[in-house]
Amino acid sequence: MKNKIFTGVFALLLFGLAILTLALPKKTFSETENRTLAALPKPTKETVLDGQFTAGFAKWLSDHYAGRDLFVSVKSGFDLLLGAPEHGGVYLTNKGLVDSFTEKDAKEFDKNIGAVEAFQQKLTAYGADFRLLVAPTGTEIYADRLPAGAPVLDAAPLFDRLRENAAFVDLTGVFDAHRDEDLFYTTDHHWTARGAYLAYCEWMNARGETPKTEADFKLETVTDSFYGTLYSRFGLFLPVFRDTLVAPAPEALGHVTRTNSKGETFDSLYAPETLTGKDKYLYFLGGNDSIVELSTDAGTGKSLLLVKDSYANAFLPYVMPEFDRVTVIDLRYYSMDVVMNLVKTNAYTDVLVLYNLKSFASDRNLELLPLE
Amino acid sequence: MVFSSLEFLSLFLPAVFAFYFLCPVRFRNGLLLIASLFFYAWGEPLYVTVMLASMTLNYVLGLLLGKAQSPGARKGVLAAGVSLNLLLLGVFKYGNFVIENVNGIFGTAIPALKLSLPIGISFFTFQAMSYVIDVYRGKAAVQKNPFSFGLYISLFPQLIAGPIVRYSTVEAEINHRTSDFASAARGIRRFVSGLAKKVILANGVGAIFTSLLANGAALPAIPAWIAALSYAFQIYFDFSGYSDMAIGLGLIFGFHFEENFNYPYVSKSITEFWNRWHISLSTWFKEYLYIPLGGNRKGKLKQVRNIFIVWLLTGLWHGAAWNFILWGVYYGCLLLLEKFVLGKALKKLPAALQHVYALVIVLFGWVLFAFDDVKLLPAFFGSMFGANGLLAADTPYFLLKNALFFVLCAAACLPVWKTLGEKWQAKHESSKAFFAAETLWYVLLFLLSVASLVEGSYNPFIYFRF
Repeated sequence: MKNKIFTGVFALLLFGLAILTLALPKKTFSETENRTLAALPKPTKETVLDGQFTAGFAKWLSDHYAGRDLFVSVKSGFDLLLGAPEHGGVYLTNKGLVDSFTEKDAKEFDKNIGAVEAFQQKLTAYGADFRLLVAPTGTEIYADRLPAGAPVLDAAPLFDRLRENAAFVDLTGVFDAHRDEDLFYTTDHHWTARGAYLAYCEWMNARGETPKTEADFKLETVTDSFYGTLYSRFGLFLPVFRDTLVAPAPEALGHVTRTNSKGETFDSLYAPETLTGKDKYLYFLGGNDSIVELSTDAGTGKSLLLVKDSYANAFLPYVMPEFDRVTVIDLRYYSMDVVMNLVKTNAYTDVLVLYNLKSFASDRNLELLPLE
Repeated sequence: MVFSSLEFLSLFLPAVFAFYFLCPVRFRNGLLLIASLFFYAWGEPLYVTVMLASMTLNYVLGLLLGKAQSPGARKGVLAAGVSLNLLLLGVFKYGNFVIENVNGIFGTAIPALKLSLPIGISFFTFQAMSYVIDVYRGKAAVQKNPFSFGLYISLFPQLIAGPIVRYSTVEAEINHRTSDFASAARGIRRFVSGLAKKVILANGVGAIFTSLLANGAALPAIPAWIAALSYAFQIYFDFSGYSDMAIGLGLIFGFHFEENFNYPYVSKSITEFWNRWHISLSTWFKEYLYIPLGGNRKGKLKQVRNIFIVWLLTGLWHGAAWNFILWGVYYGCLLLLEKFVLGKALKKLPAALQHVYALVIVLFGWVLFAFDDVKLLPAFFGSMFGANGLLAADTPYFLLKNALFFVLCAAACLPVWKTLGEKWQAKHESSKAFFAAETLWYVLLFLLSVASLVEGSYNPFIYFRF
C-alpha cells in the first residue's frame, strides 16, 4: 500500500509538471530576466541532423517550464544556504544587494579613457564645455558591507587615473560623505534620486553654475515596489529588499518634449506607461535608446550633448532647467552616425560623458566616440 | 537525450511510463525498443544508424552461432564477431588517435577521419560483445527475436552511460519480467537519488572545477588540490548518479541490473577501490579478457602480463588519448604492487592511514584522467606541490563560499546514510509519519533537482533594456 502511494505521488509529480508545462499559456518575454523567451523551433531535416533542433527544443522547454521563476528561486535559495551570500554575481549584504566588480569587468578601462580623451581633444575646436562623469557604484561606496575577502577589484587606481583629467567630475568624496543616505537602490545597480542629485550638484559646481535645491525639484514617489536588476540577477525572488522609486515631479521640469529614435514624440521626460512592467527604472526616458532628443522651454540658450549609459537616465531630470535642448546618445545602440558629426552640425554649448564605473570599465562601444 | 534534462524528466519519461504500463505486456518490449531508439536518436540523429548497424550485426552473429555446429565454425564466428565489434569501436573512437600518432611518429600527413564519437558506443559495443561471447560459451541462448535483441542493445536506462549489462544478467528478464509497486517505489527512490547526485552535486562541483582551471593549469597549491578534489567528486557523482538512475529506471520496468558503484571513496586500498568503482567494467574485463588470457592460472609471469594488458585496455577504453592510457597503466602498476609487494604491509597500517593512502593515490589518478592534454600535467602537478605559491588572493573567500558544499559532497560519499536509512526504515516500518517524511524527502530532492536544471538556463540579460 505504501508503495502504491509513493509511486502515485511521483506519478502525479511527473505528469503534473509535464501537463502544466505543456498546457500553461506561454509568455514571450520574461520580466525577471529582461529578455525574450525562446520560441519553439521548427524541426527541419537540417536542424534535426545537426542537433540544432534538439538544442533549441531544450532551450524552449526550460524557458517556458512551469513555475520557472519559482524553481530559479528555490535553487538560488539552496545555493545561498550552502555558501557565502553571493549569487549570479550579486552580493547579499544586510542593507541590500550589491553588484560585483572584478578584473574581468575592467578590461576596457584603459581603452575607454583613451577614447574619451581623444574625443575631448577633438572637441576643443568646437568650444563646448566638456565634462567626464564616471560615477562610483554601490560596490565602491558600500565596499565595507561586502563579505570578507570578496574578490572585488580595487577601484582606487581607476579613479586616480580619471582624476588626472581636468574635466573629470569626481563624485567619490561627496558620495563617501553622504554614504549613510540611500545613494543606491537595494535591488538595482542604479543610483537613487538622491545619488543622482548629488552628482548633478557636483557637475554644476564644476561648470561654475549654482545647482538648484532638491526642494526646487519637488521630488515625488513614483512607485514603492521597485525590484531592479540586482534582484533579477541574484535569482532569489523574495521581497527581502524592495525599493521606492523617487523622481522630480514632471511639473518641476518645465515643458519637456521627448523624441525617440523612431521619431515618436512624448510631452514628458518620463514614461509612466512602463510602471506596469517589472523594470520601473524605464520610467526615466522610457529606457535606453540609440538617440533621444529632448527640448525644453528653459530659455537658457544652452544645449547639451550627453553620451551615456543608463545612469544618466535618472540624472536627466535635474538637467532639464539648464538647457533648451539635450541630445542623448547611447553608444551601445547608436550606429546610424558618428557622434563627431553631431558635434559638427550642432553648436552644443555643453558636452557630458556620463557612465557608472563598471560600465565605463567594460563597455566595448566607447571606442566609437572619437571616430569621424 | 540525457536523464538530467527537462525534456527527459518532463516529457519523455512520463510518456514512456504512460504507454508502457497502459499497453499489453506482449507489446512492451517493442514499445521500449522504439522509445530507446527515439531516446538515442534525439542525441545522435545521424549515428543512430551506427547503433542499428551494431544491433543488426550482433543479432546475425547470434543466429550464426546458433546454426554453426562445428567448434571450428563457432570459433570463426566468434572471432569475426569480436573483431567486427572492435573494428567498429576502433574506427569511431580511436581512428583519429591512431592517425595522429602515426603522423607524429612517421611524419606522414594522413588526414583525420571526419567522424565524431557516437554517444555510448563504448557501452553498447561491450554489451554486444558480451552477448556474442556468452552465446558462444553456451551461457546464454540465442535471442531469435530481433526486437528483444534490439532492446538489449539499446535499452535506454543503460545505453548512454552504463552500467555495462552482460547479456546473461538480463536474458531472462528480457523475455519475461514483471513490474510491481514495490520495485517501482524502490526504482523511483534510486532514480531520484541518482538525479540529485548528478544535478545538484556533480554539476555544482563541476562548475567549481571549471572556474578554478579557467586560466590554465598553473594555480597556487590550495586551489590546485581543491580542483583535484572537485574533479574527484564530479566524476564520482556524475557516473554513479547515472548508474543509480539507470538501475532505478530498470527496476521500474522490471529489470534488475547489477550495482556499478559501492562507495569507492571509502576504500582502504587500490585493489578495494577497483572492486567498488565502475564494477561492471572490471567485471567485463575479468570475464571476457583476464580469464580467457589465463588469469592467474598460468603462473606469476603470465598473471602480471594479463593484469598489465587488462589495465592498459581499461585505460584506453576510457578515452582515445595518452593520458587515459597513462592512467590505466598507473593503476595496473599499483595493483601489481599491492598484489605482490605492498599488500600485506598495507593491511598492517592503521585504518586511517590506509584510507589516506588510497584517497591520495586515487586523487592523483584523477589528475591524470582529467587532463587529456598531457602537456598540462607537469604544470598541474607542479601547481599541487607549490610551484605557484600556496594561495591566491581570493582563496579565503572561495573557501568560505564553497566549504559547506564540499562537506555535503564528502558526506554523500559515505555509506553510513544508506545503513542509517535502512535501519530507520526497518524500525519505523509501520509509522505513517516516517513514511510521510521519507516521501517528502524524495519529493524535495526531485524538485530541487528540477530547480537546478531550470536555474541552469537562467540567463538574465542585463544590458539590453537596463
